[in-house]
Amino acid sequence: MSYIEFNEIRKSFGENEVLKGVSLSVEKGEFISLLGPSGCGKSTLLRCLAGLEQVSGGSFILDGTDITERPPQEREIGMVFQQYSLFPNMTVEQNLAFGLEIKKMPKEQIRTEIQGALEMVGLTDKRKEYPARLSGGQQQRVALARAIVSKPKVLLLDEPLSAIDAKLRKNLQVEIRRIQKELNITTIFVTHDQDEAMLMSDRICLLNEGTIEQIGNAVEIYTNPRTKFAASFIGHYNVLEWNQFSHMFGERTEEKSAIAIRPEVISMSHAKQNHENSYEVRGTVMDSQSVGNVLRYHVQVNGISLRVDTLFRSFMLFQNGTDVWLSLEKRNCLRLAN
Amino acid sequence: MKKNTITGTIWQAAVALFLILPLVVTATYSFSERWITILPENLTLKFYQARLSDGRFWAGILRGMAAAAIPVIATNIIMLLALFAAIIYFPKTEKYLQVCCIIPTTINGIILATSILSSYAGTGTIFSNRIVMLMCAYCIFCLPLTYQGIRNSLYAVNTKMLLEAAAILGADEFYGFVRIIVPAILPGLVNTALINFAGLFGDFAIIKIIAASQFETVQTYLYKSRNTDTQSFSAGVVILLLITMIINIAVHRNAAGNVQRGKEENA
Repeated sequence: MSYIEFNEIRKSFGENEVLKGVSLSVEKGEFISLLGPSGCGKSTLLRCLAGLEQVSGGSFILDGTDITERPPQEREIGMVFQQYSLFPNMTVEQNLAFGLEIKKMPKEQIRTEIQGALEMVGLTDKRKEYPARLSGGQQQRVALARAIVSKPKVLLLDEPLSAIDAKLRKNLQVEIRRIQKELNITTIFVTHDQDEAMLMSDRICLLNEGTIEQIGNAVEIYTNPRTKFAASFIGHYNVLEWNQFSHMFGERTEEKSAIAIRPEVISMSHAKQNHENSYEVRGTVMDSQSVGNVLRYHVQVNGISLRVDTLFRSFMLFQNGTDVWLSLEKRNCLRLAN
Repeated sequence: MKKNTITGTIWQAAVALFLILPLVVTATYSFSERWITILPENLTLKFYQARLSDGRFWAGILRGMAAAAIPVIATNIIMLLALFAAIIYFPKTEKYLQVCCIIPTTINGIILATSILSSYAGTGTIFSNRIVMLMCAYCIFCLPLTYQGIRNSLYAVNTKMLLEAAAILGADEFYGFVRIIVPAILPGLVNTALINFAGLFGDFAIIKIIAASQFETVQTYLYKSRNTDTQSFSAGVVILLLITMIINIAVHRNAAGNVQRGKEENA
């Protein structure tokens, strides 16, 4: 049995069924991300596990114990919220001591635990400060310290970095992962940012409309999406219906399933390449966008638009309206489940 | 643009003069033995001495403070618990609570006092006691402001979210409410309470209708003595004005502290 078992979790708000029987297993010490668009049920699933929402059906098993009916106070779970949720009337130290005092831990031990947690997040000099005097990043680190100081069995992170600016966010991503590894604490992280999920997670659980679309590590999910949703949400795949694919590449196919093509596996040149086991088609560059070090072209092929990503290199730029040859290895055309 | 500024300043000065003039005249009169010509004659502190050594005056002030403080404290406690229950356990009931609490704003104080008197006087219940009746009337009177103040404070600190965080750390809702929410909203709570207290302490109309004969506050005492010694009466008014001003300064200091805290939180 896994450390955490989600068994057919269902949750409805009135007529609206938000979770439609989600089953998932998480191993001890694992860092798993719940990834999906807004409204897919990822935060609801996390809140159900924390006991902040009552499930409509299903059960949670944590470390061999059914915790479905237990109140949040008795689940031994730590949680970091999106808006930090630090107690404004308490100093950093008092925020961290709050949970430990409820557990009736001796004062000396509380002091030691707080010191350890603050050292871990690098905020020992801020112990006497009130949350209002801290920056967003510092507040989130205090929230993290408060969540881990009582040594919970599971750490839940509900989009903890979404209110933080891009640069600080990257630092905190690395810091959270470091702390998680150091403590070997089982962590469930909710995010709608695929890059964040891929950077931080051992495994990613991709959610859509209250169901799990796909679970796997970052490489598996990125290189082998199983559904149209997974392909379009991860990696900006070109998703073509079977008849569009046949029309574009002139190949008849018996299997009438959609095909996904990653934008970066298509190569673009002025002349035909004549590669073996590749499709080669002629198209016209309609538009281009620079996305950091990548140049994203929109190329029209037989009336269908394809996204093509190339590295931003000055000697290989294509102007809008230029006729180009696209080359694509057949093995990079992934068939998707319908 | 400059012309507008000058006109505005003149206008503001005129309004300020109009408002402050009666107070200046009252204060000047309270310091003078005679004022029958243009300027007051024989400035003295004896009316203040007389007023401050008057036991009935001090008793009236203390009664007025008690009559204002008890309803304010009671309304705050009741409303705090009611809103806590509404926000956490019965969110759908909050709109009904709001309607109930806003109703007193539509009723004139004198009509409210008269209606309460005619409804409960001589019924033989605890509410027929004039002091209880007065306290209850005051509770109704300060209900709208108390409701709005507490509600805004509870939403400003995001009560539900903080209680969820407390629950995850092992606290039950009531413990979380007492340890986290009440201290967090205390500045707002005190602010509203002080405004209500100042309003009730200065009340004359409601108390005169309901309990003037049984419960003499400083307002009713001064009213009774208005024709006997006018300078002394003016000294009493000035002292009351100073007390009300001290309360107002406390409110503004508290409010300024809240704004500063808000700025720091948003920074």
